[in-house]
Amino acid sequence: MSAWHVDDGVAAAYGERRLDPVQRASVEAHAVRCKECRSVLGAGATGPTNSQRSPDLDLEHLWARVEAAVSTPEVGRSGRALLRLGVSMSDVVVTRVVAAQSRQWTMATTLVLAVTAVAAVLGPVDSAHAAFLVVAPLLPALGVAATYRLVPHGIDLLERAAPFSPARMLLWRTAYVVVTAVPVAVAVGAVVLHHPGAAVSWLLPALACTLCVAAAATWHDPVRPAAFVALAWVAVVVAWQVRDTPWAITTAPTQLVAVAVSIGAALLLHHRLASDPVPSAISGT
Amino acid sequence: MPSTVRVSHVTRRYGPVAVLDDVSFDLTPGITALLGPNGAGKTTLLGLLSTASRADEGEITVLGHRTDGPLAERTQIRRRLGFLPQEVRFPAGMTAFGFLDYIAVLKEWDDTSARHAEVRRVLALVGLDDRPTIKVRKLSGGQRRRLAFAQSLIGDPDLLILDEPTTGLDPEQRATFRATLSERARAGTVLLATHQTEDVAAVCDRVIVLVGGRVAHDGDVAGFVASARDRVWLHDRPVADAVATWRDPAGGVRSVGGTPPTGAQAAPPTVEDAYLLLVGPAAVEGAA
Repeated sequence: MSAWHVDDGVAAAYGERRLDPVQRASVEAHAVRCKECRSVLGAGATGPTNSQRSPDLDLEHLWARVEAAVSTPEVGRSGRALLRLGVSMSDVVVTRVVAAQSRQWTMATTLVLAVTAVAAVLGPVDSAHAAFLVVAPLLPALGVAATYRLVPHGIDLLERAAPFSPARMLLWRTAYVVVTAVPVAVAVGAVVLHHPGAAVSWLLPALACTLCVAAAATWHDPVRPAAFVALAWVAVVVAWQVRDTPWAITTAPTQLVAVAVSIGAALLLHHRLASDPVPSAISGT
Repeated sequence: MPSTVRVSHVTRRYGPVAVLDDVSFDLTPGITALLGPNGAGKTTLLGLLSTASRADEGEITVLGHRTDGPLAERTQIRRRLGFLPQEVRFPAGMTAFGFLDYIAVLKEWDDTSARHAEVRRVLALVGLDDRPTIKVRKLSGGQRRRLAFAQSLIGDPDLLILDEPTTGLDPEQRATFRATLSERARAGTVLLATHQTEDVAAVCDRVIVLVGGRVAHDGDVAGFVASARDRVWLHDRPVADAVATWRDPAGGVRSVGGTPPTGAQAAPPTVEDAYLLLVGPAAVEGAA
């Protein structure tokens, strides 16, 4: 705290509204942290009679408002956008923390997609196609696992021991991953993939992979199912390459299988979250 | 007095190793200390009681609900529980207020005004109300520990589970912590896992000692200290077969346990003496 304190003259000027906005803000910022100066200001503001006093010179009320404004964390642009969409303030707080915890994953995803795009421009086209089809559908699934793994030690225990709905937490982590990774991946796909419908064809497989990881993570740490799903998906893409059907991902049978797997995994996830899941990061015990 | 917590024949294994082996005890309102050497199973036990993990065998009932019950039942426990893990690493860039705001959201404080008022209340309880906007990384180790303690107080829980809460606190902060804890114990139940035997002597009603995953002692603090009576010695040299010896400020040597030599004086025992005698060499090795 600074050595400067409010004297009687400043207090009187403040009470009589003779300070300019900058001086006023400076006095208020100091008074939030200094009880003595609040008392001095209170005495200064009680000079005028009650009838002369404006409502905002109720100092206790004023300090409470100033303190609240100073201490409350900034909602930020994305937070304000979520609030406008009808998301509750509590969920905005959760998304802010999820974003802070998952920054490393977001940077890694952006880097991987950028490298894929550069490889597509500079290297063999077929290799870029294959690389993108391996990476893109796995990004949300790996991202969901990462958002759980990146929770700092201790906070993970507090999250598990709190009554906050595990399903709600999973929803926001998944939403964060989808919002930060999918639009970038779709854009890169539009550049990399030169085949009708290919740029968005990976979305349903991505959904299936993500739901499989989420459902399996109600049994285990999310990393293990994420690794298993990643291996399985890589095997599928390699098989397509070996059979010389690299665009099989765009066909109706592949999309239908992705839908079926997604529905099955979603039902299993719902059952696990609603019933009695065994200990895991996602199920909240 | 009704039990707040009932632990019945609980076993928890990591692979083939039983970290907790057939542990049973009840907790009633008041402050109970949980002592034990490193690796005795204290943190594992607190994880089970806080519903953050689950036992392999046995039953745990907390505030009338089973910890291995359906999610709805565990949620009932979590709504009335305050938990301080042994170590809390804070998300990067977070402020003290922001951290507590997040934990309050996790504890279902959905009304923003009420939540912020509660955050300010617990910040004041731990003496951090003058720096709500400071980044956590700029706080000292003791201040971070107080901040972590503050989150456990959100909602004035009926059961407080604290894992080594005074680590890193200076004497003044520890005194404040003890005052806060004593206040809490009037209305609720506190389980305090600690290595600080002074804290046990200062505020605890009862002490449970875990050794090798089993309950080695469960009783009131006065009885625990009395168990060391006539087993602690002051002399001018160490007792050969003592569990522990150290120089006494009065000029002699204090020996805990062992066969007293001629001329040794019996010294008034402390919680630490009783603990060392109970746990034996494991306690000395654990502290090393």
